[in-house]
Parts: sequence; structure tokens; C-alpha cells
Amino acid sequence: MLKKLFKYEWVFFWKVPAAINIFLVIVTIIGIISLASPFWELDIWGIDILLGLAIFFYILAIAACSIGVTIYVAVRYYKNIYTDEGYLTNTLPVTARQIVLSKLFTSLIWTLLTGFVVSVSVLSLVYTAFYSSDLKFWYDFMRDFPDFLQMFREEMGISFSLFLMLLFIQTVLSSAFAILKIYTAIALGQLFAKHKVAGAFLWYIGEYVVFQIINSIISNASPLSGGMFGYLFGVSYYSYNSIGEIILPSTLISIFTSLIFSAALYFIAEHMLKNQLNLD
Amino acid sequence: MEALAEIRGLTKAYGNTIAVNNLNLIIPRGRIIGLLGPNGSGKTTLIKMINGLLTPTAGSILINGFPPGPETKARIAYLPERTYLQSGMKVCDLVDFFQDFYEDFNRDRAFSMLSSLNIPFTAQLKTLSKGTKEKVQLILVMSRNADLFILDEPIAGVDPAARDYILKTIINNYNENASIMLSTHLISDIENILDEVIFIRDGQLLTHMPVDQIREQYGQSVDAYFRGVFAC
Repeated sequence: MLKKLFKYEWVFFWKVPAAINIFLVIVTIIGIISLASPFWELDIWGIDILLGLAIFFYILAIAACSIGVTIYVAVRYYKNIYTDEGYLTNTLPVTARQIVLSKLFTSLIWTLLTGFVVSVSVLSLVYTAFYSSDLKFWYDFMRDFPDFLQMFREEMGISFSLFLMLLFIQTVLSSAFAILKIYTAIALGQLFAKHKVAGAFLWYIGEYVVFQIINSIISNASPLSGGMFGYLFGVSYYSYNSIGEIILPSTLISIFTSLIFSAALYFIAEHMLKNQLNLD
Repeated sequence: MEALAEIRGLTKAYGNTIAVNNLNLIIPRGRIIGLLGPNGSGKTTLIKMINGLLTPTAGSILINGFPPGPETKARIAYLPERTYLQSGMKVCDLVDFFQDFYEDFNRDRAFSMLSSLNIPFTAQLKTLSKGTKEKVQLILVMSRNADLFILDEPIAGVDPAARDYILKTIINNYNENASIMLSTHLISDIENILDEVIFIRDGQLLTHMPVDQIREQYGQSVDAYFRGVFAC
């Protein structure tokens, strides 16, 4: 049943985030063509302002796309589970776990995909703006890459590929955490007798504050971050020999906390759907 | 024959308002049952609790021995009083959807009923009229071989001709081991197909008896009896 739910969730979900990503790709292509043109080298009045505006609107477009996908994740979850559509979703012969997981997987894939498109977009524009005229860029890059890998291993204590893998896991878990914060806020918003959407916003703000506090406690408690506990125990940024000794454990702590927080939020979202469902 | 559903001490409270109050009910198999009561009597609340859409404040519900959950949802065909289908879907996609999730769904029966009502298979739901959407929902629900059909106001929003078709559909599409629970205000339209009636007032069970008994005991139609019981 999870497979079927996932299939239909994908079918219903893909259009909006796909449109957002296509828009991002178009904006990036326009940006690349624009940056590659000799127009920006012209010595005319106001060209700096125009460039500044173009960058501003590009950043705005990227932010709007990322927020757009996040909003759609929230709207889809709310609409499909807690409004009229919920009368069908919640009478399917499936478990609450299957419903939450199918939506989480779909939202996660599109959130990651959008993040990837945003990253590629920014890198493409940076490359076009600063390196595209350097004909030797790729030659130098390929030539220096093995040295970079060697230096990375020496500095970080792990291979670049392992670091990328950790970074990927961290990205997946922090994205899942962000989505589950939304799901849980929507589920807890249902506890309000009226104004359930406003209730969900309040819960979301509450969650944000609580996790910020927990995060700051963790980072202060960790000597790795150079926080106050680190100073108390005589360990801090300054007592380490390489950047890897700080970044690597911090990444692992971030992975671990995202995992714990996500699990806690997931169980709240599932519990609310399984044991506290009250459709209007 | 064992009961299809057993409801014991069922209560649903919203703050200080009690929508269903300590309700006890046994739903037998093979019957068409009218769930009747004035507005706000708790009919829809009861139906939603049976379908697992509302969490009871107290009491228990067992359907085929299971509390509301995936096992009961696989055996209950529920038609709510609102449009619950995603408007962007085509009618044929909805048929696929129901077939994918409900093992007891009969695809041929669904297409046959859609054809007889001239509902285009490839039409998107959002292009159909409200009445046609309701017919599509009813067809999807009645194309299942469920144990319990729960239909909340199935004939309220459709014209008299469609109403006749719907009632005919209901009678023709259930088996003798299944039961149908119909909630409606239009008692005179449905009383000829009912075997039993359940009257609810203020969230409490007022009467649960066979239609024949009402006619014999009180010498009245169900509609007339209802008007007498719930006279304002």
C-alpha cells in the first residue's frame, strides 16, 4: 500500500514543484546568457545599478522558488489530510504511518531536487561571471584536483568522497527535519477548535523557538563548537590542530541531532493522525 | 448471524457540547438502515466516528470485530456529504485509484454505471457539475463489494430522476451479507427501501426498530412517524 500511496502522491504532487524548478532553470539560462554578453562591460551610466538590480531579482527568484516548494509541501499535506480530501485519504485501507511516509518521501525528493537546482544555478552563474573567460579554468581544475583531494584528506582527516557523503546525509536529514516540522505543526494545529491554520502557524513558531534553544544548548555544550562549555573544559577552536577536527564532529553532531529531532517529530505527526484525527 | 458493527457507550464531546452521548447500537448484516434525526442530532458525527475520521471521547466501535482502522476501512464503503475527490483527476483515473486501494472494487460495474449515466470517462472532475460529481462519488462507492455501506445524505443534492437512479443503484449493488446505513432528511424518498430505522436525537439513540414494526405498531409511515417524534 505504501508503494501505491507513493505513486499517487507523486502523481498529484509533481506539477507545482516541477513548474517552479523549470522556472529556476529558465532564470538561470537567462542569467548565463546575460552575464556572458559584453553588455556589462560597457561604460555607460547606471550599469552598476542595473547589475545590482539583476542580482537582487535573481536572489529573490531563488528565495521565492525555495519558499514556494516549502509552502506547497505544507498546503498539500494540510489539504490532502485535513480538509475535504482528507475524507478519502483517511478512509483508505492504509495506516497513518503509510500516509505520512508517502508524503514525506515525495516532499523530501522535491525539496532536495529544488535545493540541487538552486545550487547548480548559483554555481553556473558564479562560473559564468568569474571563470568563463578563463580558457584554462577546466584544465587547471583537472590538473589541481588530485592535489586538492590530497590536501583535503590531510586537513580534514577523511577523504573528500566520504565528506560529500556525510554532507549528503546531513542535507537529507535536515530537509526531512524541516518538512516534519511543518507536518507536526499542521497536525498540532488541529487541536485548536477554530482557526486551525493559524494554530498551525503558532505551533510552527513554537517548534522553531524550541529547536533553536535546544540547538544552542547543544552547540554550547559541545567543546567542538567553541561554545561556553568548551571553554569551561579547556577545549575550543583554538586547541585544535586542523579545521577537520572541528567540522567533521560538528557535521556528525548535526546529523545525529537532525535524526533525533526528525524521529520525534515524525512520531508526533503519526500519533496525531492515528489517534487524534478530528476532521471538521 | 453475528452483528456487523457493535457500538458501546460511544461519546463525542466538543468542549462542553456533546454531539454523541453514550450511544449503544448494534448494526446487523443484510439490512438497509435509515439513520434519521433532525439537524445537529449527531448523525454525521456518528458516521465519522465509525469511519475513523473522528476520535471518540469515550466508548468503543467494533466493525467485524475490529476498531476503526485499515482493516475496517477495507470493508466499509463510505460516501460523505461533501466532495472528497481531487478535482484535477479524470473520472477514469478515479476508477483506477479506487481499484488500486480497494480489493473489493468492481471496475466493470463502475464503468457500466458511468456509461448508463452518460458520464464521460475522460472528463476531469472539475469540469463536471456538482450533481454529476456526486453521482461519480456514489458510483465509486457503490462499485465496491463492501460489508458496510455508509451513505451520508446521498440524495440531497441531486434531481428527482437521479435520485431514483441512485436508490435503484443502492438496492441493486449490495449483497445480502452487507448492510447499508443511509443518513438523510428526505425520508419519504427512501422509506420504501428501508428495512430498519435508527432515530437519533441530541446524540442519543431514540429508536432502533424495523420499518414494518413502525407501520404495524403506530399505523404510520416512517416519514409521518418521524414528523410526530421530532415535532417542533
